[in-house]
Amino acid sequence: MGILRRQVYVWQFPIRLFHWVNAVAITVLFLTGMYIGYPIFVSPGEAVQNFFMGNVRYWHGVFAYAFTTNMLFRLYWYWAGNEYSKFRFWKKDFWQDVVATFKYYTFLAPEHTVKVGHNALAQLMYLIFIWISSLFMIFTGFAMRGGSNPNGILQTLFGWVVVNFRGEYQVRNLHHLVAWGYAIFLLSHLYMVIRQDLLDDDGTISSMVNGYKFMICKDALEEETQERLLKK
Amino acid sequence: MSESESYYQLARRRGVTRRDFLKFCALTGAMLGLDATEFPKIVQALESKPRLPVIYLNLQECTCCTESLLRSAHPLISDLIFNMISLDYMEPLQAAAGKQAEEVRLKTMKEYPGAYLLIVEGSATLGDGGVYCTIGGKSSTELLKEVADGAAAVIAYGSCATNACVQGAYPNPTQAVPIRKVVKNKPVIDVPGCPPIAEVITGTIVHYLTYGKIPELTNLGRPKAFYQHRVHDNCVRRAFFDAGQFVETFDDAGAKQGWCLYKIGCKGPTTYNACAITEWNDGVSYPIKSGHPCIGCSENNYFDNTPFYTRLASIPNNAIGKDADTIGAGILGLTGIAVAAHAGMTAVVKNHEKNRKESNHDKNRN
Repeated sequence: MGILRRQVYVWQFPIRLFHWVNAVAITVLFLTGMYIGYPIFVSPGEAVQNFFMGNVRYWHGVFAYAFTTNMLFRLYWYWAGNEYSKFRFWKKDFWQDVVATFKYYTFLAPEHTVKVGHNALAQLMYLIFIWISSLFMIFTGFAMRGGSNPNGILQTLFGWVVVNFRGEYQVRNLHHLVAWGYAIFLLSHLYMVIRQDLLDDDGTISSMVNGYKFMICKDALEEETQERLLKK
Repeated sequence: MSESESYYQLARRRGVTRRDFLKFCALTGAMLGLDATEFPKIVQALESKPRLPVIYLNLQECTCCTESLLRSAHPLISDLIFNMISLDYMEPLQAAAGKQAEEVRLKTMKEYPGAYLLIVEGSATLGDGGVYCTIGGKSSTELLKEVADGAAAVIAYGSCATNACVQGAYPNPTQAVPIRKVVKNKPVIDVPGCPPIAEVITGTIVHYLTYGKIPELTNLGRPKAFYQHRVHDNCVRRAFFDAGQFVETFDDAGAKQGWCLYKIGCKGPTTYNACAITEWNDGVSYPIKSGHPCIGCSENNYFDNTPFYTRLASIPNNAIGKDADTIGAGILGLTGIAVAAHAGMTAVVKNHEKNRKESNHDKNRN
């Protein structure tokens, strides 16, 4: 049974770049962060010969800046990008789609709504797990970095964060807790993407590499159905 | 002693040479971390200013701050209370008791309105009208308000006064609150620690004496000269942290080597204090140097950030009783189970749909 599909250019190059920089940054930040939180390796020999924790903290910082810059760039691309890079949560359709998609994922509805870009539920999850938690991570992270240089620019910009948590200990504890959100997100994200690609055969996975998704042509589908009905 | 006598005059009258006086000024300047150009200002201040009247209140506390203060080496506590300030009221040190003691306090408050310095050790208590701590028939909170009204500035000395410390830990039965919550109309300087380093409080007092104003404060309201750096950033064991060499238990080989105490709960990385620089007991040592992890006693709610000997405290403030890793990994595990269940469910549902479609197809053929 051949289904006619049309090729749609969904993810523009900057979006794909953002996605992969984000993926690499989050992975590196999570792993280095977990090491900083609970250092499992012990360096051999004398302290003068090693700078392992120092390096891990250094790279955590480098990727934190890359991550932040990347997020700022994505913010710009909401404005500059195509239709699929936008997020309109204030529209009624958005929330209707959230409900419809939720029903689909809980097997209450047999088919999902057809969205070329993201469905609304996915967008909502990105808002929570990528945007809100990243905002939290960026602010708490820079606040902790700033503490090393009490008269530096980071301390001036982010020093107020620590005051709001009444002390740096809670800042670090919550920074560590929220980090797990990314692991949870990654697991769910991978599952959803693979599932979508398998069930709809629409090239979801490869679309984040080449930008194209393969949507079923409605007209073609209708023709086919009619043909079948006629045969009967 | 005449009331207008300056510190310098007093020192000369007591037989201190000018050379020793200048040495003292230089030493104090160094203790405060001041530039050498500030040195003449200290000399000038001590030469011209009358001794500062100080009232020291002991509220809901354990007197460990007083004990620490008495061990001040730079300046010596005797120097401070006999030569630098006029300590008019302090229960643990004064000879007078009862009515006489209270009279002295009232006399100072009456004679130097808006000019005396108030140092408070211990927290105010609001529970049940403040009955949990009363002095001379007054609740400690009332007493604090009364004395603070006429003070030039208030120094909240010790963690009880800055964050309610032990008695303010969950569930805080006496509703202990920091001084800042009660004294709203005067500048409050927080000098946290359980207890704070003696030199930190005497240094703060001398700063106030010298400049006649409160020192520059951090964003948490503490003197920047002492509380701007992390213990961690000046720690003697910092090299082991950066190298990645950590003590696992108190009796392992790493502990003997003097490795970093991070993994056995050291709170140095989130604690702002002068321990690693000034050290304790005239610069002898400080907890981490002596082999014990920092418990973060100068940080707010430190008694709720327990257990002390693990890296991560239970979240939030022991309400759940699990630490960040346990919670995070637990939710991740649940997500993994949910994903597997959902995938299984999808397979079943889709298979069912397919079978139905095929059977429909067959029916249609027939």
